[in-house]
Amino acid sequence: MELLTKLGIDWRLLIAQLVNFLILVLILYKFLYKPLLKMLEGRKEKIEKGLRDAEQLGVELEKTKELQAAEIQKAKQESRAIIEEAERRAEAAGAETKLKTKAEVEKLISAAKNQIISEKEKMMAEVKKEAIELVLATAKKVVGKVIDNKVNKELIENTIHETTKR
Amino acid sequence: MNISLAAEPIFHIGSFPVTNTLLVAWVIILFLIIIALLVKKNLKEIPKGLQNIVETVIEGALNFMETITGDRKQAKKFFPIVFTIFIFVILSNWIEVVPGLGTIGIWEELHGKTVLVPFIRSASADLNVTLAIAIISVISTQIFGIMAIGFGKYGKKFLPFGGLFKIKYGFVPVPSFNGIINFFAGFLELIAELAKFVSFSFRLFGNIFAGEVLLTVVSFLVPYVVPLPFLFLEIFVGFVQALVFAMLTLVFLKMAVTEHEHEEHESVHGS
Repeated sequence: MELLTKLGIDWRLLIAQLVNFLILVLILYKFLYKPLLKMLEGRKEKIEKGLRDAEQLGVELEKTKELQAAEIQKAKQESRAIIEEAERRAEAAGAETKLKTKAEVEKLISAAKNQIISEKEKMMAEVKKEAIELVLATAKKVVGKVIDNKVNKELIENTIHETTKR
Repeated sequence: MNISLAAEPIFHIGSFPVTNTLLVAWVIILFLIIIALLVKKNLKEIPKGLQNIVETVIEGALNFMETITGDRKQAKKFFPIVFTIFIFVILSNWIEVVPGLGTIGIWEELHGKTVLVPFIRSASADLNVTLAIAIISVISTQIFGIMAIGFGKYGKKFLPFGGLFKIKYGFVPVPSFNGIINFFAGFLELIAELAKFVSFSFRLFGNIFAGEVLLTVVSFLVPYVVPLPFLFLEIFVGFVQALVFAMLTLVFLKMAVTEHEHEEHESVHGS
């Protein structure tokens, strides 16, 4: 006992220090360790979740990008096909129109030719008739009421025929 | 110059002596509680200022403890006691490098002599403090051990009566050599447990008290420049001693909660 006293051990002080330290442990546990560790754990979880989410998002983004690229590629191909088709159609349509026009024009031309020919014939016939009559009248006037009208006419006609033939 | 093994009382409350180490311990405890309350009050998900520092220290300590226990849950369970020991011991160790140590005080009549009683004396340079912490460390070791593996199994570590006698020929109890050896080993464990009180408290007390005496003497002999390396040395020693105290406690805790499979296995093998 004397040794302890010499070393400075005093049971009252010892108990005081014990109580002090226990109070310190309790207070630090209640006000510092518990809430802080809980929060640290919570933050750790949050960060882990965030990282996981970010990773997932990255993967998804990559996927979306690929999908987008594929879509664009597809759209390009489709548009190219459409343009080609349109061009082809336009060409075909143009050719057809040309052909049609040509045919029409030809038809018109031939119709006009025909008309012209028929007009010409008609005109010729009329000219002939009038010429005959004119000649007949002239001859009548010149010759007078000679010979038979019929013979006369025949004669004239023959003459005209010969002249036109030549 | 006055060097006393015991902490000097500054004043008395009734017959209760309020020593300088008790005052220093109160200051340290107050300081830690204020920090705890400040951090608790402004606890935020996104740390700032003080919380950052405290978080770094606590998380670092927890991670370090995890490398020793090898189990985060266990580290968390032991954390309050081990870390409080560490922080309290390191602060009370470092008090000794505060200027004015051993020089600012009051003159008092002690044992018939008038001596200077300094206000500041490292709390660890008082056996009452170190013994108190040692008691808490050892007792919490027992409590954790009993809680983890049960009273019977934990008690068997120290008093392994079980293998003392073996039943032979159906009913005759014969003393077993292995059992007796085990019993004495257990008895030695018990003594080792008791020796922890002494080793814990005297290791810390001796180191810090010696440091304090060293600083006082050096400052007394050469007041300028020369004490500087000793101050650094004492800062280092203070850190190491705090670490040793906390780590030993942690290791003992870890050992206490681990079942003694090894020995049981051996006794089965021996019979």
